[in-house]
Amino acid sequence: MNFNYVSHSNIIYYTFYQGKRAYSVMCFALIALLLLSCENHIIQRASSDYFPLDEGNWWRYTSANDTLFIEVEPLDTILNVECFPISADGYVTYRTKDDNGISDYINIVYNFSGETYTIIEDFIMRIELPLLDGNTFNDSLVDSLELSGEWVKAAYHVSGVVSVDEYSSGLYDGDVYRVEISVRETLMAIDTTIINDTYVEELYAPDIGVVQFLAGNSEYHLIAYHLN
Amino acid sequence: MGITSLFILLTFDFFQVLLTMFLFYLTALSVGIEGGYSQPAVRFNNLNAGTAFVLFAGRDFKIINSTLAFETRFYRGENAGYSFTTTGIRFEMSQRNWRFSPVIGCGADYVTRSINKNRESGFAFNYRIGLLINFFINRLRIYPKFCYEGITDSQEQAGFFNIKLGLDYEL
Repeated sequence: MNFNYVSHSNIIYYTFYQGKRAYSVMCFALIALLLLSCENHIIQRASSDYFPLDEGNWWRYTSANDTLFIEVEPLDTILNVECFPISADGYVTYRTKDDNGISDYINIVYNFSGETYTIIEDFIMRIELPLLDGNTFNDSLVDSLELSGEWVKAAYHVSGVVSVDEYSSGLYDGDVYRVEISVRETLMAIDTTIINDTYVEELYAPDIGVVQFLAGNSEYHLIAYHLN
Repeated sequence: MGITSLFILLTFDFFQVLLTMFLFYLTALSVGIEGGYSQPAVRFNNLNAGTAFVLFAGRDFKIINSTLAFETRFYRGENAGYSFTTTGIRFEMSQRNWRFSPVIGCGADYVTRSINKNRESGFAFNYRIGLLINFFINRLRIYPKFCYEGITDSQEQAGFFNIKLGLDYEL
């Protein structure tokens, strides 16, 4: 380095000298930042797939007195939308995944005079993607049908809250997203109104899926899974 | 950030170091800007291509040209309400006298992701490797730069392909 150049000014020399020293310190500072990043896995949260929906993927859960086997079946098409049938111990629901979220197929029917009428048949967003701490979302389906001069109205409303949590088990140890989902299904018929409220709490781990969920009074924990 | 983080910040007096580095580069031999296009390449499947903007100062150390850069990048998500932003400092090394010069560098980012006015943030470490092609017009250096930039939080690796155009003026 040309010290003749800097010797004309003490300030420049000092800065130059300190700069050289700062290089070594900067290396430590970068390591410090690397350690900082260890505590907050934002890249993992930003880049991971929390909903690995693929044919053949399965998850096995256990609760205090029950086990549940969930499996993704081959793609199907409903209402011209490609969706994954998801079997939970044989009970199948249909789910799609796109850039905006995870959607469920909803079909609300009404039995009248021995006939079955469809009031609502559509997909509704269940969880908005990507998952992010503090995000809230909701979606609704409302429709009605005239039967013998009387209106039958149905509504399906989903709302959710996302938060960050920690989870530890033999299968996964680290940050998870907790998603609390409230569903209200309403059917207003000629002489009756039926309201069905459901609350589900699910913990999603990166590149695994649901590791724990609360349905009713039962808390299920993931004990085994397979992803293609 | 926990006690460990606070301890590290205090121990290394990070901001004082940054200020010193800034002063050091005030006596820079060159200053410049870069701008360009950044495409998610590894993971980040929910992001569209983004834009990058860089301000830097350069110094020559023997056979290498070193730059201290301030860079910000912005990406929109596939979900229109989602965005991903990184802002940070970089050290890069290249050789300005070669027509084709390799580039390597590393730095630290403050990462922010947001959706519907909700926000998450954190720190990440980044590194880059690539190639630039130098063209000179008197003191002005113009270069296209192609590089892969990796970003990690020590738990997960992801990365971007960057294509940038840089202007560097030798003082």
